[in-house]
Amino acid sequence: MDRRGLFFLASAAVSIALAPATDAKHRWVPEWLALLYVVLAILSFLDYWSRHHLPPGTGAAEPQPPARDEELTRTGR
Amino acid sequence: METLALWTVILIALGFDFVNGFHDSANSIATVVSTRVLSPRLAVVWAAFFNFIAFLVFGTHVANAIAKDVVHQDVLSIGVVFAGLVGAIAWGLITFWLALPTSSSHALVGGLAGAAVAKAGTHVLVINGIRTIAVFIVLSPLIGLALSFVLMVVVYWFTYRYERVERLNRGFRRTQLVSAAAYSLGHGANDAQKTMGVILALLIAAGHLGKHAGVPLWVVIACNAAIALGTLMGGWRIVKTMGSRLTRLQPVGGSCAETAAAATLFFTSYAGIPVSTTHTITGAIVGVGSAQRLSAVRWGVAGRVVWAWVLTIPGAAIVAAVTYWIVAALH
Repeated sequence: MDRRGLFFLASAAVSIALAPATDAKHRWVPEWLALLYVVLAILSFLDYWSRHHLPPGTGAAEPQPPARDEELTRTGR
Repeated sequence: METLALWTVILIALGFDFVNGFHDSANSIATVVSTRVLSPRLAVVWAAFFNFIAFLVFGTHVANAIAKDVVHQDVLSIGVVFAGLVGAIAWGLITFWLALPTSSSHALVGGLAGAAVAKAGTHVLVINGIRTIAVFIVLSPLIGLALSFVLMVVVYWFTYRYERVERLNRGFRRTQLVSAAAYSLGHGANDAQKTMGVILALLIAAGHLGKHAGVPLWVVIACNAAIALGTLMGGWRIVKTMGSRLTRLQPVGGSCAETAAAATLFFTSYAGIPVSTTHTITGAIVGVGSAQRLSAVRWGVAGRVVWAWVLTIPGAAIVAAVTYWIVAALH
């Protein structure tokens, strides 16, 4: 189960739930935020699926961002 | 006598601003210190400078919202503002002592609302204004989180195959100087304006300014100076919570978190929405952690922070209400 995707979906739900309570001038903020979180959730689910269903060497097994971040840290001052 | 009381409360308001800078200095410098881009001493000076010059960049929309959109102006008096400030300051000190990164801004809103309700009942609350503030209590960290997550993914995407890692790392350290400055600018703009709003409300309540008056320049400069001084003197207890206990931050993550938080604060400052700079940077830091993996975020600490947020407005409101009743009884 992709917990990150679920977290994004929950954030989208919270954002859209707040839209009616937001004044008309700023209502676009929670609406667009909800849309962004839905897109992020979809991408996160796809990322999770590709990591767990594609065979090694097809791209999913490439080093992931955290590894890159750790590399930046190791070689930095 | 009233003039003396007015100036005393203005000084207390500036004291609150100072405490705000003192309390929130950790947010301004946590990422830049925890990634060792700047030494703590230098980071504090850097943040204080950009806190101070914020008045040159942003308007006073947030100040007007605090002065006019929390409680009806008719109910505001020197006593109400004094009690509201005492509530906000007391709450800020309690949470500082507990090393919790809570919001001074929401403490101020809670304090003003609590004191006003203690004086005249719940009908004095400006529901639309408080509702907007309440909505953005939740939205501001979510905006920061989403923006920092997207930024992290974009950065990873572009640097994924970059071979000269040391050069790249140096680049991110330089970027973080700019992002820390931008965040401090946003912090100075949004948080200093809240005190400007309080002083504006005081001056209107005391009859020194008309109901539709803007914020005088001396108030703008005094508030930005107070928050910058507070940042300069800032404490270190919360640095640990924000910079390392929430999630481990690297230069790239620090840059993205500060940039996302700064963008959120710029937007809300222009839109005249008082938000918590603490909430915003916390959301952005969680976004960075989530881009690595969700387990990189220490949700126990994040949950404790959320509880502190939930308690802030009612906690400050209760302290302010009790203070108002005591002041009224003594008077």
